[in-house]
Amino acid sequence: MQFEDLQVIWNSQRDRPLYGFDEAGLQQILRGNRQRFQRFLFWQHVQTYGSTLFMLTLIGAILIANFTGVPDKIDSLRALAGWEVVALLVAMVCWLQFSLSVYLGQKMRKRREQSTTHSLREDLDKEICHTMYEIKARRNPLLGFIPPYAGVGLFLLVVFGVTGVSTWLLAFFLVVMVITLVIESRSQRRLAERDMTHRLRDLEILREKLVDPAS
Amino acid sequence: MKTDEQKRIFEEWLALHRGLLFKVVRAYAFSPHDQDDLFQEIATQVWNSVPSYRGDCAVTTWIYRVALYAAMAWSKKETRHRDNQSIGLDERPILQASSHVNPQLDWLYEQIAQFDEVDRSLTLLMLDGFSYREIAATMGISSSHVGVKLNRIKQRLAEQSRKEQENAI
Repeated sequence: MQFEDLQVIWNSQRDRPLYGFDEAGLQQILRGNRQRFQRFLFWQHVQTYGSTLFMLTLIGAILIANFTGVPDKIDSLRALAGWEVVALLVAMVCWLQFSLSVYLGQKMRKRREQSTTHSLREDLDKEICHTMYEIKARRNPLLGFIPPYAGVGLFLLVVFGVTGVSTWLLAFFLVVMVITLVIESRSQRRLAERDMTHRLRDLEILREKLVDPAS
Repeated sequence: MKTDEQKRIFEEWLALHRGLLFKVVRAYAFSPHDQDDLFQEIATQVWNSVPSYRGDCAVTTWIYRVALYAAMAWSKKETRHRDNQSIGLDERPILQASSHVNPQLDWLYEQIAQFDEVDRSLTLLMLDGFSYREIAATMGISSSHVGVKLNRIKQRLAEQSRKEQENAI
C-alpha cells in the first residue's frame, strides 16, 4: 500500500464520524471545571490579599488609637513606646511586601506568557516557563513566607507588651508560628521538588522531541 | 469577553470541527474511559482558548494546535498517573463510539499510536492536508525539520502497510 492509499483511508472519516457526543453533558462538565477553578483562585486571593488587608487595618487602627490618646482612657493599656510604633510600621511593610510580591510575580508571569506566534512550541515554552516560575517561587519558600510571619511576630510582640499579657504566652505563640512556618515551607518545597519537577521534565522531553530532527 | 459570547463561539467551533477533535482523541487515547477523559480535557482547553483567538490564523489551525497540545500534555500526565486512576461509576460518558467499523482505519490509528507524541501530531496534521509551512507554523519548528520528520513517517507507514499485506498473504 502506498502513502496515497493511506490518505484515502484517512479521508473516509469525513463521511462517517468516529464518535457521537453528549453536548449537554459536556457543557455541564465545563461549567463545573470553570466554577472549581474560579473558586480556587478566589480563595487564593482571599487568603493573600484578605490577610494583608486585615493586618494593615488592625495595625492602622492600633496606631490611630495610640495617637488619639485612647490608651490614656483605659487603665489596662499604656501608650506605645517609640520602638513599638516602629515595630508596627515594619510589620505593615512586611505585609505589604508579601502581597505586592505575589501580585507583581503573577503580573510578570502573565506578561511573559502572552502569545505571539500561536505555535505548539510556544505553548510548550510558555508552560515550561510557568512551571519553572512556580518551582522557583517554591524552591526557597522560607524566604517568601518570612515577611508575613515576621509581621505577625512583631504585631504580637507589641500587642502583648501593651496589654501586659504574660511573656510565656508570647513565647508559646512565637514557637507555634516558627513551627507552622517550617511545616508550610517544607510542604511547598516538596510540591516543587516532586510534582512540579516531574512536570517540568516531561515538558522538556516533549520540547526536545519537537525541536530535535534526529529524535 | 462575555461568557455568552465565549459559549456561542465555543459551540460553533465544536459543531464545525468536532471531527478534528475526535481524530486527536483517537490518536492519543485508546480505552473508552481515556478517550472520554481526553475529549473533556481538549474541550476544556478549547473553551479556555476562545478569548485568546485573535483571528490571525484559521480556526482549524488554532483548534488543532490547542487540541494537540492538550493531548500531548494529557498523554504525559496520564502515563504517570495511570496506576492511581479510578473510574467514577456514576460518571456518564460524554463520547459514544460509532458502531461503524473500518478495519483499515483502525489499523492506521494503531500505527499512529506507536509514534511518540510529537510524531503523532505531525502525522495528524499531514493526513489532514496541512502544508509543510502550516505544520511548521502550528508546531513552531522549521519547514525543513517538518519535511525530514514527515518523510520518515511516510516511509515508516508505507513499510508497515507492506509488512501487513505480506503477513495477510
